[in-house]
Amino acid sequence: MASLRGFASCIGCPPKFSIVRNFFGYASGPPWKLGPPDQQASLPQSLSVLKQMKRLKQKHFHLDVVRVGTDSNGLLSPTDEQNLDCAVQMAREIYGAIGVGIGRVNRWWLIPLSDNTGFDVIDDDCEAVDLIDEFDAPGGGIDVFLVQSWAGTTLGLTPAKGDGVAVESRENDFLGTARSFSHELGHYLGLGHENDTSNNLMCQTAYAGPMPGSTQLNSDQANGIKDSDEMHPAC
Amino acid sequence: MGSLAIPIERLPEVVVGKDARFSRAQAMAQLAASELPDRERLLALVLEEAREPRRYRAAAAIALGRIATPASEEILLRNLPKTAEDSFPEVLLSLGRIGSPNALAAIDALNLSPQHPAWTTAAYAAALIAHRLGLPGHELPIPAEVNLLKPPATQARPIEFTPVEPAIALGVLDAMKRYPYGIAFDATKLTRIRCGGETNIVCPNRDFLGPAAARLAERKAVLALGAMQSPETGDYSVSYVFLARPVSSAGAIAIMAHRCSGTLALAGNAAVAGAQVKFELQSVRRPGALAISVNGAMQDGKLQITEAAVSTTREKRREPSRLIA
Repeated sequence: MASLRGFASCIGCPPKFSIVRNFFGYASGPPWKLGPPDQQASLPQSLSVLKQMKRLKQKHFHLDVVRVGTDSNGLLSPTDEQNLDCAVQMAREIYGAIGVGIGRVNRWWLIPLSDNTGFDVIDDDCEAVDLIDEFDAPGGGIDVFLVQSWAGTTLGLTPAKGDGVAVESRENDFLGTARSFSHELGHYLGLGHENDTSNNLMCQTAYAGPMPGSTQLNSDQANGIKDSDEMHPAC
Repeated sequence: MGSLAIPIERLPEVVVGKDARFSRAQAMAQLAASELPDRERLLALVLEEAREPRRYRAAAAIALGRIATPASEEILLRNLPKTAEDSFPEVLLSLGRIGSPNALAAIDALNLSPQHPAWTTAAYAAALIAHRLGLPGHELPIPAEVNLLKPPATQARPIEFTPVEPAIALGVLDAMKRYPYGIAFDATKLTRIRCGGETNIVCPNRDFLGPAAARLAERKAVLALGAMQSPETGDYSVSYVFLARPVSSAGAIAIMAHRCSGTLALAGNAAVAGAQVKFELQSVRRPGALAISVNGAMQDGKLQITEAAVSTTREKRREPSRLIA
């Protein structure tokens, strides 16, 4: 399967597809206008179709992203929308480094603010668990719930036997959002914490080194992820 | 993802949005748990600033509720009418948790219609206060039998109940101090419940243990809190609030367990006989719920379970909406 169309078909893109919106699954592309200024050097500068095709030749998993608390147009703030795309792209780099791809990303699921669920602002961990238990995006990928605030002591959560992960979008910290996003996916894929290694993705924030360096995964973790039930075979 | 330890001297600037290097919601939670003298005023600046996004105003309301001082309550009360107009249920929830008669009167004075987006939260907040203070009225409807879930015999697993080790019990109760439900606990009377992949610790209200259980037949009460351990940080937070109210003069009481957000999760009946409370609880039908059934008795805080099971499958979940892009 060498053609772009072939890879796109493999991950479920429609016959007529957009590279950015369907193949990558983004609403926006680089250069993303995200802050703060001292993180600018870490912003992904481009999207590589070739690199993504290579990653789809490896085991990969899909994502169904549910944006929580969207406005009447079905959108979060422009910053949050870009934050999401940037987080997925950075997760692709993190997992790509261990030979695992992120395939289809359906980021158009939403729970509008007008539904009055209160899930846009997570009061405490119990509410995040309820969010994950109550909603199920039927796309067949890992459900990732992007919430706007988390008033407890955590930045993201993956319930032990839950069917998804919840992550706070921090509008002024795309690196932190991307790390939380990737860290919670790591839990979903079976990884525990690795607090003895400050540059490891699974090291908790309180013990982790600075971003963007603290996103590494070791070979044992890589092997564990590749054995996960979520993995799809190479295209 | 573990908590960010924001340097305490940075908290004021982060909370008001002048230092963007940290999560503002995290900073507000950390500020609420701190002893900084200016914490109420800082949070009021956020809650009362109409140009602030909802995400921060709501987080400020939650933090003010956790502080639970007269100053924080006063801020929440003065913002209650306008936040009810804007549908900020977090203000109502925080006032319900602080639980004063003033808050109950203020919630009543809103006179929200059942069609108002914040009505459900207002009803829960008022019920929470009425149960805490043992006041008449403000009763939430008991779910109909048809809305209670019973695990099917062939697709159910047992629920595990174990006493909580002393060191862990102290940690749980230390965490519960962050929450303003106004009840005290006995560290030797906690029970761990492992059910459907979640671990909760039931912390009974010390005021209704032993012979004092007989009072449950006479007055409303916050019977217990459930605490869940974060799979992420290992820290404990409130997961369930158990409310009890008398429903007959013969010692029958209704028990309703709400999730931390106020959503009703479990309901059932109980009967008080001396120091013993015999109960039957089932989970309430809602999207994604597990069917749970627990029958047993509580004697001076110790649970004796006669039957407990949880379904292996969940109720049908809700499908999120989809934007056709």
